[in-house]
Amino acid sequence: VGGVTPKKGGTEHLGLPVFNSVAEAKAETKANASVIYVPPPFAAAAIMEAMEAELDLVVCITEGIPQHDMINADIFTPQVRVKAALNQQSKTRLIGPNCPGIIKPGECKIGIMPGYIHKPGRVGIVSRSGTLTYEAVRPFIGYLLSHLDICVDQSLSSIYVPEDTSSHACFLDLLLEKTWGVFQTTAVGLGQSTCVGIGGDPFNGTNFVDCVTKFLADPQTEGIILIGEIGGTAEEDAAALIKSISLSKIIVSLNFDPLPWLKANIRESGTEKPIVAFIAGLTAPPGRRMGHAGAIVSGGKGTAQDKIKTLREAGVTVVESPAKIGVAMHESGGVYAACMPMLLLSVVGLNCNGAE
Amino acid sequence: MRGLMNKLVSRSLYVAGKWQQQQLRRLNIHEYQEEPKNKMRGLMNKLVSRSLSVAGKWQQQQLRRLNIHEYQGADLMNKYGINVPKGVAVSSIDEVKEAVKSAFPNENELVVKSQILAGGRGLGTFQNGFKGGVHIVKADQVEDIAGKMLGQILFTKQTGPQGKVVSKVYLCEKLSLVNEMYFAITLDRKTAGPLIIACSKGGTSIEDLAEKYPDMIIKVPVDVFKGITDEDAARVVDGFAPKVADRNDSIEQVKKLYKLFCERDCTLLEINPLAETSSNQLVAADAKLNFDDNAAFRQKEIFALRDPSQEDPREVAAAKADLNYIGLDGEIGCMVNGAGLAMATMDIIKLHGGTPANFLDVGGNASEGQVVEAFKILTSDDKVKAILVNIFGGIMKCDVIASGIVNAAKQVGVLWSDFSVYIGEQVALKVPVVVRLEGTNVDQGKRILKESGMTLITAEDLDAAAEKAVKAASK
Repeated sequence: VGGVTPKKGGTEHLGLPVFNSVAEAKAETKANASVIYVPPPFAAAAIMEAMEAELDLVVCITEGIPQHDMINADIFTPQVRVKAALNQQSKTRLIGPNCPGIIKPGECKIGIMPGYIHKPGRVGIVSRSGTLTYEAVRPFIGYLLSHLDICVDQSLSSIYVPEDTSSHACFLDLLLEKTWGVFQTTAVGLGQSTCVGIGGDPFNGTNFVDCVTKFLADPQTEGIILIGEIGGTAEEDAAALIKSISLSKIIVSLNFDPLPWLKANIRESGTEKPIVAFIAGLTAPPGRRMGHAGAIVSGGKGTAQDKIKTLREAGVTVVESPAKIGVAMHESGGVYAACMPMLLLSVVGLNCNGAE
Repeated sequence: MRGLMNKLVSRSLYVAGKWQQQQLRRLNIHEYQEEPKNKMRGLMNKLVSRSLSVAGKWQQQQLRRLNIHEYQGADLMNKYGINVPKGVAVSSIDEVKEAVKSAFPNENELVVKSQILAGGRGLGTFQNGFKGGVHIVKADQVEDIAGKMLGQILFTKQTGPQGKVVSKVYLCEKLSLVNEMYFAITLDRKTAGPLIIACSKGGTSIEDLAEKYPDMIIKVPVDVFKGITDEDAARVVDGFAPKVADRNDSIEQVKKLYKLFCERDCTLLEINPLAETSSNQLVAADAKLNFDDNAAFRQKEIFALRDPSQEDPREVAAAKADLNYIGLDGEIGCMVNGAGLAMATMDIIKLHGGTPANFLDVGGNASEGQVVEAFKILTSDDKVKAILVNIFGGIMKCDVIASGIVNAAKQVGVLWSDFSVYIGEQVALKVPVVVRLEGTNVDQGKRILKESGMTLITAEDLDAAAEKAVKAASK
């Protein structure tokens, strides 16, 4: 689809057809996903239109949608009740609004993130911030670069060095081409399985809980990174989920000797996959909206300190700097013996209710 | 293909971005009424902030969105038929005389309140030495007291050391309040809908009450498909349980408050106390209204009420340039693209022992002109000892940032090689600038900076950049 713009149906854009409505586009092309760049006054209505056309995935990039539009804007635009409508159906998933989009490196990108900094891999990333995510993705490259000496010595007889070595990404591309096998066997492979930007708004379509659930079930994802910020309880909800999953996994293992199984499978997070997080806004003053509509500490709630504490209690490794995320992820591949006694104790005293 | 995709994306974002740049307003509204006694003033401040923690629990939303004066908030509620104490805003002694004569001919006492956008008025002090920004006075003293306030600078705990100018004074009827209840409407993230909160006990202990007797807090979510029903409103009224006011009248007042909340894009509407007067009337004695910045494009009337004389001049300048800027009081000025990254940059500066001077998100669509303005604001801040530019460009292009920095330096003057540059009236500011560029067009950006001849400190990653900035600021 070249685009959907009322009254421009029948024209072409980038060699692809433009349609008047989402329903038309879907009927003609069988498109099942949409990305929305519509300006704020009309963006919520655009989301509703995509939902009514029953697309599988809608990604809304737009920043600045009035909060009432996401809740109920019947006064301003007939029938616009995005959240309520979303909750009443299960066909369409909304990502955003006010997000950079979603990318599966090497396969598909719906959004505005720079593709070249991503590499296919085994870490799932979910984030409320766009550029902060790039920062977290980038250290993987830096970390890989720091391993270069070893890999190069072992496998290459000659190295191509571009004139401008300040461009790390392209240097890495070249190096990866030549040493891909080496990197894989050194098990660095810290690329991304899927990277989801859930956006900075308080009312959005997809949250940490949704993504963590999917990452835990995704065989390609072996580690999860959460990038949060002040405001709301999305991080705390994720922590609660992570905690509850840990407990149910332990119950499942009771019909055989749990210790070896725990040793083999339980990472610090208590789930099978290590989870690392960074929460922005420790220094944000209370009561001020820090850019994102959802990033505000109000009435003492939604502070970065609370989120960090809650996540740590659930077994998530929370780092102080986005530069440390890659390192923490790599290092958390092992088992933390200190956690095991705690986990076993929880099993003994636990009242099993509804465990699978 | 990448070039084409980049163009497509950046053009689409220009459209989205035009609107993105709109909502840089912050507007807040005052508490509505308070006992002018000093102690009460302090308590009221506590109660307002605490009540917001009650409201905040169900909807962690903005305390500062749209800042409008107390009298403007009262006027707005009055327009919706919500009972508010009678009041007149005046800006001169003549107006005071007129108001007392025509609006309050029969009053023995009136409440005289300075209108500033900060709390702590009751305990504040004026530049001329007069104490207390809120007074209950006899009708014949109103002129004298108002005269001591008008045009003066009032210093309170919340105004900061520079204080705030009192352009208007609000004269209100003095009410004897029989019963104080609590009422609020918020947008709840959990239910993803409007939530009405009521409690039969308002006043200063609302937060303690919420902890000890959570059952006294009645929460009524509104079904957005039905809107507020009579049943909903009745449940709310039974929740705050007025003693003497008429039940049906109260139900109507609740519906009117809800209407205001929806029609004006409020993110929070809090009435504490919602009171009953000795004449059996329900009255909104103290109100806090927050409006959604994102709705500025369709709430022009509300956002026109903004009073820039009450705001941080740096923030006023930033808003004019459509920059997302929050002034703090540290030493390292920040320019970053992306709100999350901007917050993280501030955090990492702190981690390295420095203090951020501001939050600034130039966004993905900043033009060179905006970058220049941003740089000017940062360099005009006396406290700033070093500037950190941290750009990870996705949509934002590094060459645009670089050109902006170079042009700003030409206009403002930074240390240029070994010479201090004097431009116009502006003295050269020897503020070291640390630049970290990454992402789209990074090579062009770095080249522009190199060729400018500017003395800049460069860094490859955020940690190094923050470290260098802190070091530079401490010299």
